[in-house]
Amino acid sequence: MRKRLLISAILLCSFVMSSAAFAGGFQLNEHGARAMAQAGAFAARANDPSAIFFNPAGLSFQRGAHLMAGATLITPSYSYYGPSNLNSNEQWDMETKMFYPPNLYLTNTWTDGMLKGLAVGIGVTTPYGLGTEWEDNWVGRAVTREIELQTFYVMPTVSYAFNDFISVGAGLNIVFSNVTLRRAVTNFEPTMDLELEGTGNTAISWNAGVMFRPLENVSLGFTYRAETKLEFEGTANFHPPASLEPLFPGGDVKTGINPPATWFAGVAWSPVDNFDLEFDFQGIQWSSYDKLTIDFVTDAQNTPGVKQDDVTSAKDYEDTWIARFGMEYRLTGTGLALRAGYFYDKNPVPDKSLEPLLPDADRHGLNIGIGFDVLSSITLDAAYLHLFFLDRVTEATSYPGGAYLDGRYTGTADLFAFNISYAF
Amino acid sequence: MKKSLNLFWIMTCAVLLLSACTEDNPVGDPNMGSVDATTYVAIGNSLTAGYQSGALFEEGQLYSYPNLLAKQLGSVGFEQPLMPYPGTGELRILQTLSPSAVIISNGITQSIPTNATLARPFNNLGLPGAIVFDAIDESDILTRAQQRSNPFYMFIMRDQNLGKSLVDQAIALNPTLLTFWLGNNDVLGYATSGGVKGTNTGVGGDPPYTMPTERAIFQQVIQAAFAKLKASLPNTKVLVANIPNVTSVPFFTTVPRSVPNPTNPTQMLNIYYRNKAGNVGIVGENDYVLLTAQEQLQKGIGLTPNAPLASQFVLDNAEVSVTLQAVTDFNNILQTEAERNGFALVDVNGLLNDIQANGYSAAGDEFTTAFISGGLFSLDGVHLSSRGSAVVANKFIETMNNAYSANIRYIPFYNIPGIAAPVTVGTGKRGAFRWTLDMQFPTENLHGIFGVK
Repeated sequence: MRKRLLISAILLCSFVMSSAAFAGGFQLNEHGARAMAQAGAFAARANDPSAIFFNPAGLSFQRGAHLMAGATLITPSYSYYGPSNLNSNEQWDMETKMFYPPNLYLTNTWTDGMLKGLAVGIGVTTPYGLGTEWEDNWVGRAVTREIELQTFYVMPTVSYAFNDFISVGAGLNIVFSNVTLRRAVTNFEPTMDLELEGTGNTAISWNAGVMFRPLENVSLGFTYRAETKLEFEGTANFHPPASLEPLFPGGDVKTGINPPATWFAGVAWSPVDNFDLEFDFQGIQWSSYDKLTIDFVTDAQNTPGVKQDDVTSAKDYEDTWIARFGMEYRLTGTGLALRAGYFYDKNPVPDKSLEPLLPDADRHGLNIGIGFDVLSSITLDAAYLHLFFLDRVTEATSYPGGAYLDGRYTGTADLFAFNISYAF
Repeated sequence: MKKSLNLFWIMTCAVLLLSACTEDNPVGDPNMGSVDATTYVAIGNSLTAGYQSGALFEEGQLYSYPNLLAKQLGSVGFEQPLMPYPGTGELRILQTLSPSAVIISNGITQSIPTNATLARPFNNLGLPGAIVFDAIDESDILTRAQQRSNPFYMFIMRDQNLGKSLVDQAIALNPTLLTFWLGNNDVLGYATSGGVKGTNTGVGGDPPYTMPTERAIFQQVIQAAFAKLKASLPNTKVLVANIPNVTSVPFFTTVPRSVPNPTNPTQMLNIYYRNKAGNVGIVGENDYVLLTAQEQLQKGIGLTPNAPLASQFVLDNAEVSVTLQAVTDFNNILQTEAERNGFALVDVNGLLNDIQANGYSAAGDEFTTAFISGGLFSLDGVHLSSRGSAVVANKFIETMNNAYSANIRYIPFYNIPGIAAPVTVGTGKRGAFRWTLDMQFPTENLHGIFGVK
C-alpha cells in the first residue's frame, strides 16, 4: 500500500512537468499501452483498467481488483517554413521537448455475491494538453514563444453489467488545469516578453459509456465525454523596461478554454478465440473552441494611461473525427500478446487559425505493441506509435486579426507507452 | 496471424507512401531574375538618406531603405555618409510615454561623416532637403548649401568634381541598379509650413516660394533627369518611387481638431487659426493641425479667436486641396515618365494609403500610421522609422520581383529594432548627453531641413 502511494505521488509530480497534444487540436488519446498499441480502437472491448478513459462500461465485464500505472513518452518534432507573406521559406525548428503524461487506474469488479456485475474505479489521465516552444528570437516570436496547457482529470467511475450482454458505466471528471503562455511584444526596443500564467478552476465534467455483446465474439461500444469549461485566473507580466511599466503594468488576467466533447463508437470482432479486431470512429466537437480571449483586469478601457488591452483571437475550430483500427493476437500458453493498429486523424484547425502555438495537421498513426504476463498477477504492456503529419500549407493567416504567419509546417512524433498492471 | 501481419505491412507501406507526398513551399527558391545588384545607387532626399527623428545619424542610416535593400540584394560596397551619433540635425528622444508622450532634444548638432574622404560618390545619394531640381542642378554646391542653409550638400555631394548634380554623381558610379525617390519636398515644403512657404519658382504666376513646385517645372526636371539616366545608363535597372499623400503622415494627423478644456475635460474646445488671407477661422474637419502646433496649444494659443494659431500651424482645407493636387500631378508625371523610359514604378503612395486604411501586419507585428505607437514613422512625425524603412524597402523588392522576374526575399521585421523605449534624462543612448526637456512634441522648425527658406 505504501508503495502504491509512492508511485502515485511520483506520477502526480511528473504530471506537473508534462503535457502534450497528440491528437488534433490539443487532445491526447494515449492513456494506456494496450489501447495505444491498437491505435486506440478500444471502446468496444475496454478490457483493462484504462476502460475508465476509453469506455467505463467495460469495467463491469472485467474480474477482480486491478491497479494499472504508466506513462506515455512523447517526442515531437515540427518545422515551419516561412513566412511566405514575407516571401520567405526559411526553416525554423520547434524546440526539442519530451513530454510524459502519466496515467493511473485503480478498479474493482465484483463477480459474485450481492454486488455481482458492479464495478468501481478511479483514474487519473490528461486528455487535453498542449506544449510548444520556439526559440526566443524566431520569426514568429510576436505570435508565440511558448505555450503550455495542462489538464489533469480525476475520474471516479462506476459501471454495472446487467448480464453477460450489456453493461453501462459513468464517471465524474474532476479537472485541474494550468496554462502558461509567453510571447514577444515588439512595439518598442527593447522588446518585451509577455508571460501569462493561470490556474484553472476545479472544473466538473462527466463521461459515460455502454457496451453490448450480442454474440460471443462480437462487441459494440459507445462512450461519450462532455465538454469541460475551464476558467483560468492568473497573472500577466510584460517584463517591460522601467519607463514602460505604467503602460504595461500586467497584473491579474482571466481566460477560458473549453476542452471539447468527444465520443467513440466501436465494434470488435474475434474471428478466433485469441485474435481480436476492432474498428472505432471517434468524433470530437471542436467547434466549441471558437475564440480565445485574454482579459486583463486592468486595461486601456478602465484605466487611463494603460496601454495593455484585452485580446480576442478567433479560432473557429471545426468538428472533426478520427478513424481507428486495431488488433491483438494472444500467443496461447505464453502470456504474450502482439498488437498493432492504424488511425487517421483529421485535424480541426482551419487554415486561417493555423499558427505555431499548435501547428496542427491531418496525420496517420502507426502503432505496434506487446503485452506480457510476467507473473499471473503482473502484466507489462509496451507500445510504440509513430505519427506521420501531412505537410500543411496555409496562406490564409493574413487577414485583420490574423497571425500574418503564412507558410508550411511539417512534423512527426514518436510516442512510447509503458504500463504495469497488478491484479489483486 | 500471418494474414493480419500482412495486412499490417500493407498498411505501413500505404502510410509511408502517403506521407512521402510532401507539399511544396508556397514561395519558390530565391532568385534575382534580371536584377544585377553589383553596384546599387539610391538618389533621393531625407527619406532615402535614412534621416529619422529629426537628424541624420549612423543608427538611423544603417536602417535606411537603400541600405536594407543593398544588404538584402547582396550588393557590396554600398557606401553611405555615416554620421556619428547624434548626427546632423536635431535628434529627438522619447523621454516618457506616461501620462503623455514627451519628446526631447538636445538642440541642433552637426557631425562629420566618418567616411567623408571617400574618393568616389556615395552609393546613398539621399540628400536631406533635396527638391526634384537637385537631381539635375549643376550649380556650385557650396553656394547652394549657403543659399538654402542646408549643411547636407557638403556632406553628401561634397565635391563638384565627383559630379555636379545628384544624377551626375550617380552616373559616375556606373550602377547596375538605381532607385530614384525625389519630389516629396516639392510638396512637403508647402504642406509642413501650413501653406506659408513653398518651392515654386514663380513662373506660374504665384509669388516664388509660396506654393508647391509648379507642375510644368516638375515635369521638365523629371524628363531631363530620366533622359540623362537613360542615355548614360542604358542597361541599368531603374526604379522610381512615387510620393505618398502627405495626409497619411502623422505630422498632419496627430494633433486633434479640437482639444479638451483643461478645467472641464468633457468639454471640447475649438481651435482658432489665422488663414493665409489674414482671416480668423475655426479648425474644421477638412483642416489639419500640424504637429508643430502642440506647443502653441499648450500655451493657450489657438484656443480663443483673439489669440489664433498662426497660419503656419494649420494646413487648412484650401491648402490641403493644393497639396493633394500637387501630389496627384507629380505622381502622374512620375508614372508617365517612368513608363516612357522603361523604369519600374514603386507605388509608395498606394502602400501608405493602404496602411492608413488597414494597418500593416507581418509575423504577429502590427503597424499603423499613428504617431509613435504606429511604429512606422520616427519621432519627427514625417520620416520613416527603421521598421518603416523596411516596409518601404519591401515595396521596392515586391516591385523588382514583379518587374524583373525575380524572387527576392522580403526583409523580415524580427531583426529590425522598433522605436526606442523612453530613456530617462541623463542616460541617453550613449550616456554622454544631458538631455533637457524643452518641448512636448517637436516644435523645431522643420522647414530648414526641407530646403525651404
